[in-house]
Amino acid sequence: MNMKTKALNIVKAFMLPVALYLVVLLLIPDRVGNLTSIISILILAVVPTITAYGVHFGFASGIMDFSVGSRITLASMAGCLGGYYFGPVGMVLGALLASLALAAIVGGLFALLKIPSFVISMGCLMVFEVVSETLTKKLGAILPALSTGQYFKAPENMLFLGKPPFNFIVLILVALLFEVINTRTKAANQARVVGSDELIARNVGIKPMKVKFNTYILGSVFLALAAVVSTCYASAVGYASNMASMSIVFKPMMSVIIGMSLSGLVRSSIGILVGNLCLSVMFTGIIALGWPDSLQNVFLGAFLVIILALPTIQRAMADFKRRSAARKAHESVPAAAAKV
Amino acid sequence: MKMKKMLSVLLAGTMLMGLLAACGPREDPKGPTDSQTPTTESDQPEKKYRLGVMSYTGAATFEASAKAVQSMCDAAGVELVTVQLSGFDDQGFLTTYENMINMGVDGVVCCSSSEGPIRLMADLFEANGVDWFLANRQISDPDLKEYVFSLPSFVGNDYCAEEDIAYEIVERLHNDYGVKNLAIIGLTQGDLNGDLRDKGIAKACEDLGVKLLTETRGIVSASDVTNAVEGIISSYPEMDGIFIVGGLVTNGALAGANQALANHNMQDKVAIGMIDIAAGMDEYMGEGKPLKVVAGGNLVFDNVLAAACLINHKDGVNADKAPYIINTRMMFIENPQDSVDYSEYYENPNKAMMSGNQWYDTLLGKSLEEMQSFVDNFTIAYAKSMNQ
Repeated sequence: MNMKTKALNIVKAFMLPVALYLVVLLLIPDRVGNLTSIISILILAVVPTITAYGVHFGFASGIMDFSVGSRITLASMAGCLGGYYFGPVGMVLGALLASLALAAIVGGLFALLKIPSFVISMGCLMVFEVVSETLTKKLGAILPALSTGQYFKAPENMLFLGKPPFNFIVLILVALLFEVINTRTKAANQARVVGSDELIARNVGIKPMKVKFNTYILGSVFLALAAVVSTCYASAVGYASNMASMSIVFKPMMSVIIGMSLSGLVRSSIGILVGNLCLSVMFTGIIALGWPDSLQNVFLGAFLVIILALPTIQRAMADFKRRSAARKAHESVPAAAAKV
Repeated sequence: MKMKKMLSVLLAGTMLMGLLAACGPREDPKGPTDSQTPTTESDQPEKKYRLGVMSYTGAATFEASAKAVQSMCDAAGVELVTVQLSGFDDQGFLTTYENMINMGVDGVVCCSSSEGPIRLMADLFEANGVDWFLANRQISDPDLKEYVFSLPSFVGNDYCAEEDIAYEIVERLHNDYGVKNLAIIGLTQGDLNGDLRDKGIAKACEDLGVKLLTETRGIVSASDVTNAVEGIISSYPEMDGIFIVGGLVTNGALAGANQALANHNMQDKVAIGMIDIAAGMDEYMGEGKPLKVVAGGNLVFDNVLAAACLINHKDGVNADKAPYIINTRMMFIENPQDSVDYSEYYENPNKAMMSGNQWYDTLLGKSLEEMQSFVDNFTIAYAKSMNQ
């Protein structure tokens, strides 16, 4: 594929959120037709995109991980704790170490017990939520400057990371890191092989469990970064209970699916970003439209179904074209033969 | 292989034991029959009334409420049976009450996430001869209400006028802080109290001419709240008020909303009203800060009052009037000091809001009118004076 085609494909992919934005703009021009709105749409896409990069490796290898939200919550808390004692470096290191440790626990249990990944992830999610709650409560009593008992406060000197342009710079750097890891590392390639056919992967000497464990670890680096940016963005991180943190992964998961649907056009890093921009446009759009919550959910659900159906529709259309071409060719052969 | 066989035998044995245990005679919830009753008083240890209350570890409100009920039970010589809430959904509440009944409680302070399982709960308590008091929930279905109120095991119901409180918050935001364009960060639809609050908000907006701009619900994290407020600001720059309908449902909701306002330098332009009192909220109150009015505290009171009514009922106080309704109310907090006092003297998980004698001075053994009057006149300043 030459550079021109690549650039054209990227433009084509970005046309999806642009088209959605234009639809919203047509419906409510006075609400979303301003720079603040566009910046807001971009801001809304930052954290889910970084999270989606973390989710992608596991998803590609066939793992369904619902513990992501609880891991981000705990990593954010560890980041706040690190930031409280050791400043910015402490925050990043705290989040990274916690995220790696939690990923090792979930991945280790998965590899050791060999039970479905979503079962393991649900179990871990419940435990991690209780840990986040206990940690918030306990530290609320010991360190009120850090925890109120309901949420952790982000270090004041790190809040800039959640604001433009710094959050966009972080997103670009993380996207580049993701691109390198996703295209240049053995672990990411093996994850894709395992995800597409585990039996073939085994036959070529790949150990699926080891690969899947590696995807947890690989993804955790991005989840740690998502935790840091998310905490700086909101200035706080609250504990989650009753499996509430599970829904944190839904948006990134949707964008990973959109990214995969667009894999014929662009690289995953761009596809995922495009997916998140689409979701972000829709989120802003439905808020701006003032729709009630129930209608918002119907719209989001319908959009996901359409996006999931897109590759199937594309394949069906290609099949139809191929068949009609074959039929035409078949019909023209006897006619030509008759002429002879 | 041997290990597998041994394990399967062990498992089969455990299952068999479980089955046999389930077939065994069940303890009569109404207590021993005449033939089983010990003949002399000295044979029978004094049986305390067992009061079942649900708890939820980590939630300051539940812990403070449990602390208060514990001190009341200690004063009244009642045994408190605290059972961890299995989940905030219908099944979670039902399971909790089944557990309480299995533990042999005589009375239950009951609550429910929605109206759906109340009939089932009522039948459960009735069948097991357990007194129960519905706290913190108003029954809106007239048929269900009639059924529940006809049951001999039902002692009463207390609830806060959620609709009125929501109305009052919008009214205060409008009258005191000039709010004309309001955005809602709401609870998931289907929550009994959440739906009532929504009604109150809609009514207030209609009556006062406040424009309801948009709503967003079911938010789980602080960053989601920041996202929502960012989205609202970008689409509705005219927004001058935010109503957080359930401040405890999303931990850090206030911090998240405040951060979005800070990003746009709108902290002094937007007034936030909230139901539910959150820890650390004094940070966002005061001059130039967005949080203006918060209502809450009824959950503690609802449970405390329900416990007092059940204890009174056991002692025959107000029993002739059962089932009855007591209306509770929320406290309004509008300055940082009130917020600090609230956490210190009212909803303090480490210290009961009142002592043994004070319970007898205020709620235990009192008539319904006296109890209602106490509730109506309760303020943070009063809680502070009682706790000195």
